Amino acid sequence: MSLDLAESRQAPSAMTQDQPAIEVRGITHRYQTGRGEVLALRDINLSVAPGRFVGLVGPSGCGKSSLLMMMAGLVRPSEGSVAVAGAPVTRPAPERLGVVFQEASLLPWRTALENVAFPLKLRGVPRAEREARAGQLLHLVGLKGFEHRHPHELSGGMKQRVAIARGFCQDPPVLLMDEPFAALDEQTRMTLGDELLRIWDRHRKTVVFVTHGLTEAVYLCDEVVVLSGRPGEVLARIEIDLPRPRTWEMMATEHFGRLREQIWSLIRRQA
Amino acid sequence: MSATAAIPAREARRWRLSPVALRWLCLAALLALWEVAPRAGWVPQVILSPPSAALASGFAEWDFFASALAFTFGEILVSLCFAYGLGGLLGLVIGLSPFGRRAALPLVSSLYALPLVVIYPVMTAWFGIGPASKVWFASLYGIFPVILATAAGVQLVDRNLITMARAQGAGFWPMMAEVIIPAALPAVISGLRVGGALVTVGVVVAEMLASTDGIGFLITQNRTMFRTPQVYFGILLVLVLAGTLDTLISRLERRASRWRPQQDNAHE
Repeated sequence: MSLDLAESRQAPSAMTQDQPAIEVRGITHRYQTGRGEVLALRDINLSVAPGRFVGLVGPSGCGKSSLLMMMAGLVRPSEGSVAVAGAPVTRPAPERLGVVFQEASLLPWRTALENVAFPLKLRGVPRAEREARAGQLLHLVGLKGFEHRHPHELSGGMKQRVAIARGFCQDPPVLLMDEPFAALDEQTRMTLGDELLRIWDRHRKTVVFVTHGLTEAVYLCDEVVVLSGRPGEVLARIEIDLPRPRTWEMMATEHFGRLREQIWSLIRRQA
Repeated sequence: MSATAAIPAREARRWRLSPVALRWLCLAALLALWEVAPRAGWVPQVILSPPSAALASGFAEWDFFASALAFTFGEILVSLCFAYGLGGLLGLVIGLSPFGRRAALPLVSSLYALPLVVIYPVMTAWFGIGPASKVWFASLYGIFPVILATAAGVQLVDRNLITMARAQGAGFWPMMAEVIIPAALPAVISGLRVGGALVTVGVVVAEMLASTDGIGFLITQNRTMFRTPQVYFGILLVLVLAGTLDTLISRLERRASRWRPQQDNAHE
């Protein structure tokens, strides 16, 4: 594999070591429903250092996905702001932020290769160039040979690999993942988790990973941010001090179990 | 012993009628009946002319029919442009916003349900009995299914795809070209199919009601002169015209949905 992501056009030069990759300042979010106003998030402050793999967990409906959508510039918070590498995010900024959704959200009429190249097509990158890069990324996620398949010819896990490759396509310094493995079976989920770690280890992007899987959160992350039930507030930030690379044997250790238990007891009190 | 005895029974059952064969068989039977019934005197030939006679007398006056066919074809083509172009555009605009859908869709579907033929006499008063009134009427007649199908297709585009494209920074036009239109296309084409059939009906019916040229005009004229074979030849020409149009659209339909999982090929 000769993929060199550091060579790409958007080198994260604007990012210095001491500047956080993502900075969430005082986000409060309300929205209107038929039965009145709902306070979804209350005064969220969060800062993520470059290259960290941070999990976002909490009881369902706590607004963790909404918070991620705000980081992605897809939803505007009622109050507060998000900054990525020091610059405010007010609308989608694909060159700074890659987003991977729970649904793979692939264009069904496009091949795997064209789906991965889609962000570059929107930027007007010539076909040969963008497809060369998309081909490398498909190789990276283990889908060499599936370039010209359409989404309906791929399994759920393969589709999600394509979506991850697409998230990497513009080589953004930050990758936002909204329960990317939630729709997959457990075996696929664990395999993909390992793959993600392997890719992350090579390219050290900042990752924010929303999940409801606690084992997954502990296994993948450097730090897990626990949100409370509605209105969502930051309850705790738990440092996962397991060594890297992570191995499956670690799941059986007492330390792993304690970390998982710590997160679970925080969430359980909320439910 | 019992096993060997079972084989012949199975062999016998292997001869099965395929649905396609049955379809063609029915068509052939109908044609044969059409040919035989008037010839055998079951039906007077002035009411039903056998297809062979229709073809023979039609081709004897081919120049005449050909120019009428070209005329009708031209009217259909122009009407299709209006019905498809305007209908697609209106459907897109209506389908894109909940406001547009709530404001316009009930109106469009009510209009679609009306027997619009009743306004054709008015149209001849406005636009004369030349091709203009045919084009106006047929375009109006065919536009509603196109609007409705396009609006429905646009509305049903997977929200996840739209969010994904937004996250990639897609603006209005790239969103249209890369996501909304391709996603809506299969639904739109089924609307084009219905709309195309209605446009053909609209043109021919309008020609039959009041006209000076075209296949519909020839059918009516020959009928008043009791030239039954020529009437049936005209009918055959309309069928061929409509069939060709429908075939073209279903080709387009198959092309547009090639990326979809293969389903039962009912149109094969």
